[in-house]
Amino acid sequence: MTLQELLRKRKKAILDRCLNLLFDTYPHDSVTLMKNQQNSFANPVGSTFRRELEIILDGLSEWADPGDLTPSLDAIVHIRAVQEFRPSGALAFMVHLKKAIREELQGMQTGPEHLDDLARLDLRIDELTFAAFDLYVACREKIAEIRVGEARAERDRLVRVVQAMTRGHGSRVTGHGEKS
Amino acid sequence: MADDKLKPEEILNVSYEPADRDWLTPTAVFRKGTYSYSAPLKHQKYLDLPNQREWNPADADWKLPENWKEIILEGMGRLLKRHRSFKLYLDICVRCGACADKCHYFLGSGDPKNMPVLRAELLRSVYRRYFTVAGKIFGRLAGARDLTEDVLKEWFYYFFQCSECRRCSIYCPYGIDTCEITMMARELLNLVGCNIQWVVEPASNCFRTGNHLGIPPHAFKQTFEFALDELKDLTGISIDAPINRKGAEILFVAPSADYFASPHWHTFLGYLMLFHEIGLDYTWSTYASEGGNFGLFHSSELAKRLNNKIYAEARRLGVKWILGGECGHMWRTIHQYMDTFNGPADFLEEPVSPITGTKFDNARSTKMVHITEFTADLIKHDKLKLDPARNDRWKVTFHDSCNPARAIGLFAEPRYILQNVCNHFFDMPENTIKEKTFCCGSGAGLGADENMEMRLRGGFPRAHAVKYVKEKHGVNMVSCLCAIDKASLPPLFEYWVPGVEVCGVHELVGNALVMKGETRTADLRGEPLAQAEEPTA
Repeated sequence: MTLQELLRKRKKAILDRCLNLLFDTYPHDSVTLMKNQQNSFANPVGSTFRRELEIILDGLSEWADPGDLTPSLDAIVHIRAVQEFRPSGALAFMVHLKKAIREELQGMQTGPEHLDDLARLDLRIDELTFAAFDLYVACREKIAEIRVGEARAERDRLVRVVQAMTRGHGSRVTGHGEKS
Repeated sequence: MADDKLKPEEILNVSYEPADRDWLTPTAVFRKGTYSYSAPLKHQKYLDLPNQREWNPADADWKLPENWKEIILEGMGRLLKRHRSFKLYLDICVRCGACADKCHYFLGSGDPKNMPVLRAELLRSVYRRYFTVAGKIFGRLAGARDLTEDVLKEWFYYFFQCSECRRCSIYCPYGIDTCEITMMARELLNLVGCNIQWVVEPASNCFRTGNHLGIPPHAFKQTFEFALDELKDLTGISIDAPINRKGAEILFVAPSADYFASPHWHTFLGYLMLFHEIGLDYTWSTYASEGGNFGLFHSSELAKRLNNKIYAEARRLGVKWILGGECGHMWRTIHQYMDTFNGPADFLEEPVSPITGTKFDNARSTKMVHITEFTADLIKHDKLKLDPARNDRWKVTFHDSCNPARAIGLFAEPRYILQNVCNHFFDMPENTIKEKTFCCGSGAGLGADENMEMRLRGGFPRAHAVKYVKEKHGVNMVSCLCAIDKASLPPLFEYWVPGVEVCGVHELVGNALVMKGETRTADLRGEPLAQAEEPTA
């Protein structure tokens, strides 16, 4: 059996293992909901993790182009980037992915013939880990950008107040915040 | 300031699992991005608040008064006597967990202390310790804990992570309004001078100038002239907007963000167009130039003082009744608290639409009608000429703003309007709208930029539902009825669902409204109209 076939066969077990490791990064009292609530709108974080991790695992077992998996990666990273984690903790799920696959394949009939494919798989996960790092940084930059945007909007409001108080002195700002 | 940087020996101290702590142990960590700044000293002074000082929540020393513990416990005793609901809510919870997974902050953060039941327990545990026999005798065994400085800091951290949206309350089989527990906790924190900038400063500004942005009357008037000039350019029509006019039939009160912030501004233009088109006998006010009641996020006393301004102005101007704009918590104040704060408003008349003759029985006591009730009634009686095709560039969904939805049950009217002014309207999934609507994550004073990470966590459930309708129906516009939503949803969507914009209901009304004598080629955002009609003579 090829590694690809093994991964396909054990997909559900690997996914559960990955999800459990991911959910275990949250306080115990919160995990029950994340694991069990099936309605996506009643459990947006847990349902996103489940859906996107499944896509990532499918992609890995089919040797999909890593680029095709980045939207799923991004959906998970977006959530983890605003939660109470250090950057390393936010991206730990990628390390856990490797761990879950290894643990699940233990005891199965893997041998030297799988070594090349395992190395290739590790490399693929490493590539995705680097991509996750880039996505994480992009999220944090976006948060900073949004904060700057809010400060700018506040400045625009103040400019409008000042202009309203001194009409006739200087140009006018329209409701769109653009000078006319 | 707390230093968030890790020390060299801490960098490799990596643990992927959270520390399992007993919930009775206080756990608040003030990390940048997850808490709001404290109230500025000058605004503490203006409102004559207790324990005035400069302080920072991230500092170890909060500069509390020496007898802070006595102050809090005395205050709790006073609130328990004053508000029967508070005592009831503290006593009757059986911790069934029905509310546990309903809070958007819990759903977005995974922090169990954001479960409404557990957040309430943070306060309830102290109540048990000092006000119940079981708590006094059995202590932690009975879920009771001592009031310590760490407990007080935890209160501040978590009760300013509750946006008082009341979603949890609709799931409680006992009807416990956890929002009111947050309100009581904030009242207690106020007693020792622990409140945040985004609550105290707007409230102080409202006293000083009539609105939370601190706009003085002459600037208020000038901004109307900007708007009227813009409308003249957009429609070719000269519109009048009366201010402080005694003897008008109706006083109109809107949130001040409507006339100074974006995208609120377009809603403001929509109001002006609508009132002109139907020839409404009304007035704006510089004294009551703020619908939002930031006192509500501080204390009932402050909420009462701010609410009174609207009614004092209605009395001074001699109007018959009050029409209220697209505001959120103004409506909770009016419908849930006004009658006992300052009402009943016997000097006003029961509201009757001067255009359709419809009597607004629901506003018999408060004498204040929501603008979507008013506009929906106009449409129902065919009093407006509308061209919904003018909004064809938008595929619209409606975000039920928490307070109009859960405080006054305003579900049908805004949807009825939207379905008449747009051709493409799609609701979000049922468990995310109407009374089950998700908060924007920035209400109740939490909309400060320094609190952005917490806002993004809290807003995720809403954004998740918006993403669903975006992917399913191509939705690119979220309409809503709250000034805080209009300010906080755009950054929320920029992070979670790029490509979705935000507007008020009356912006879309203004776009669709075919005015007598108009020459229009652009919508209220200055973009070409999707379908320009022949101007009517």
